[in-house]
Amino acid sequence: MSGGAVAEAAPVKKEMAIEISELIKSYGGFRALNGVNIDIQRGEIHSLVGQNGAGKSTLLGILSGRTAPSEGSVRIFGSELHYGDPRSSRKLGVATIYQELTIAPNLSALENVFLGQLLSVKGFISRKRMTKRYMELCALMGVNISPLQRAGNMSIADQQMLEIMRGLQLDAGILILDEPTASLAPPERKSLLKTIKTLQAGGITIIYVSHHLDEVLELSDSVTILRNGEKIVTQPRAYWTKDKLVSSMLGAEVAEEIVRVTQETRHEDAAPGPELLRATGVTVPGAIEDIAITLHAGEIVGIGGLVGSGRTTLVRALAGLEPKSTGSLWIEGKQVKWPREPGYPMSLGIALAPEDRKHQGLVLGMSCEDNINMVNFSQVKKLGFYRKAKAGHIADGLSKRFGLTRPIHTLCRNLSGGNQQKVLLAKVCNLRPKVLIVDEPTRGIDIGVKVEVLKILRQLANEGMAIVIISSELEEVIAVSNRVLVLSKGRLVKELSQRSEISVDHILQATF
Amino acid sequence: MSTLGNQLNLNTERQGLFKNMNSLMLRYGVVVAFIVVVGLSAILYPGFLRPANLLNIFSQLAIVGIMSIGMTFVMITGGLDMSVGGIYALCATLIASYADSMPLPVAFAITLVVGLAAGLINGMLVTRLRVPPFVATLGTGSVFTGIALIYSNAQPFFVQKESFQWMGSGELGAIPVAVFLLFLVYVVGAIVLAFTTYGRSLYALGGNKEASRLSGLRVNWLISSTYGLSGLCAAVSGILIASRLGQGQANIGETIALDVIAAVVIGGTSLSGGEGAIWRTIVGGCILAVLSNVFDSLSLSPYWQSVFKGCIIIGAVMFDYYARTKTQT
Repeated sequence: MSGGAVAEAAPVKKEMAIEISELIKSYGGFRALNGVNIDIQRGEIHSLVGQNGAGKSTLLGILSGRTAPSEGSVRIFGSELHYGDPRSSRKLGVATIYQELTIAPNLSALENVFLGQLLSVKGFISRKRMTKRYMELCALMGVNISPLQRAGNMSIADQQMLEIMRGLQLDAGILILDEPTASLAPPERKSLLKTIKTLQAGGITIIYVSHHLDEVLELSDSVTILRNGEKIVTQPRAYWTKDKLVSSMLGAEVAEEIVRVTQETRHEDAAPGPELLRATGVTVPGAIEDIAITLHAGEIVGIGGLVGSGRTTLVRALAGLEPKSTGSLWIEGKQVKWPREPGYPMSLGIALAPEDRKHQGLVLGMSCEDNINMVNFSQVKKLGFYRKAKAGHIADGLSKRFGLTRPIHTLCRNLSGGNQQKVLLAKVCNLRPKVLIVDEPTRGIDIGVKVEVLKILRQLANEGMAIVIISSELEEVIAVSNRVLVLSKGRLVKELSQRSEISVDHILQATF
Repeated sequence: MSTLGNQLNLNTERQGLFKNMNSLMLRYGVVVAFIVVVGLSAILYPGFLRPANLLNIFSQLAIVGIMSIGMTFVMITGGLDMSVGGIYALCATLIASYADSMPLPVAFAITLVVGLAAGLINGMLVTRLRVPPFVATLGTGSVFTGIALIYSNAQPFFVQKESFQWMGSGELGAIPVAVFLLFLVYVVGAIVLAFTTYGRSLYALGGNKEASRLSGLRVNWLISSTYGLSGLCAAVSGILIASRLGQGQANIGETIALDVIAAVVIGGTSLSGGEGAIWRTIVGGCILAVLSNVFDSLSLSPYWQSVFKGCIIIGAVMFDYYARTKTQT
């Protein structure tokens, strides 16, 4: 009802492809979307921008019919969506292309495009009809892919084209693209962006979601910023600059905070501390080759690079988790055996907080206290017995230090992502490591807690630890790092050590 | 500061106690079930609560009860040991064959080492060779039984030495030695699992193997050790049965693994690992033993006992699953 009223009240200049009004989605007490209103004109490229957890995925989920909203309405070309029904969304002309491709590698390009919706004539599959339609789609997209090629042999970029063709096959009027360029190299990106423009020219409305702000600026007709489940603003392209995007994405306070962390943290004037770790010739067959890394006390070293560049493999090798790795390792100047099992590097003072908190980091069914102590049982052991009082004392001290907001006997399963991350950091720091490696420490946690985590890391470094940080959010790497090593395709391609050099652009340029 | 914190915790726990009778019921349901079973038994079987009968129950429970402690260690880490019956039979056959020809302490020691070694073989298959626990131990169980059959040529060995029978049928005061042994294993098992860092490590390992490995726990060693303990317990039970019967035979262990697993599962130790406790296994074993005692006294056919036992196991696992999903949301 309210949706209709809003639509009538708004001065309709052009035909609307999508009208979203007062959309609310709650999960328990948490509102993933909180009264969002967005109108998207037919034929425009509309970008959605926001941090992880801003509500983008939920919004896309509702549009594509995967999720049903709690309140509010969505109209597609004027008619209301049947919520939570993917088929209905498709029928109204919404095609969604997700980040993860769903190509069947053993089938041909043609078969992939018509997967599950074969065209037929009088009940019989008609290859002729399908080939004709396939060619039309190729023409619409301005690409040329042989229909008989095996999909598994094609490049990721071409597979993505197939995925889009599959989406458009049913006369979709609206195409939703979720992070389509995440796994593409620059030339492929360029050609995808061109294809998107071509599709727009063909009358298709496009919703584009990306973390790459340059692409957003290059492509969009208008941009909507989401933050914490709310729409912050929608403005046409002319209004936006990169700085404006960043600050409205993060919120003014947080943006300031990050700048402040950046400023107080990077003091490259100070001489680096003594060398703590030096590794050379780090090689893991098939993943990384001949990488050298040196870490000094008091510095944070960021590792830049895309997913799949070998950045996680590198830190796993240092933590002894890659049995096939080779290399040479010096700790505080003394050469030690190359680690091939996880207990040994811990005894050398190397601790890793792995990227997957739930599966690699914590035992969710145990309390924070047990999780924090399990990494260092020897200090709470007397004649084999577990000294509960001492363990509690240690866990209490560390959890205060890391700002855990729940009591230490809480099961980790019942903690928020942010608190879980704090427990994980407390746990690995219970080893009192010299070198702390954190892989994706801020994934999936609130922006406020993110800043807190980054601050803690800085403090630890200032107390003499050497810290290695990996994050997909390059802004964070830049904010805290003294140096950034850029990896690409398993090789170290660049080291950025001057403040002026460390920027998203430089990292991305070095990547390709 | 810390006392204040403790008080706060206590308060919230106390509130929880009254507010959440439901979740308490879910957590300690097995205790309630045990009390109900005991109450019904006392009504149905007037002699049930007599001390002699109670001692008889524990005496009957001893064999399965001792093995169920080893099994609990295995299952806390997410494993399963189907070979306990084979180890049990092998150890009973072995000790009966040589108890007369050597001093008893030596005979005991050799048998315990065989049980431990058999368990460690299981551990090695599961950890180093990555054979799934169910399959690995099903296989070795058959191998161990087979070895016992070959060794004994499927004939029982009889023991003449009277001192050998003391363990299985002797008494200390009025209490059977076997019951002392059972309680000893219960207490040691409970202390090790609940109060040592080794026990904590097993819970961590069962809860999340990868996180435990990344935390520097010696995962393979820990897993192997639990199978070793299970083998050791099976050896103790094997010695006990040989001592009680005055003979050792290779065909005694065919279905006993299921009773052992039943005791653990009825107690509420999770089949998927990471959760459980020795006290649970004790209660689970007691429920089985009480039921069997009452059924016997009512002259219920063993075939019906088998049917009831199966239903109870399924019911216990269903309840466990239900409780888990309820308390976790």
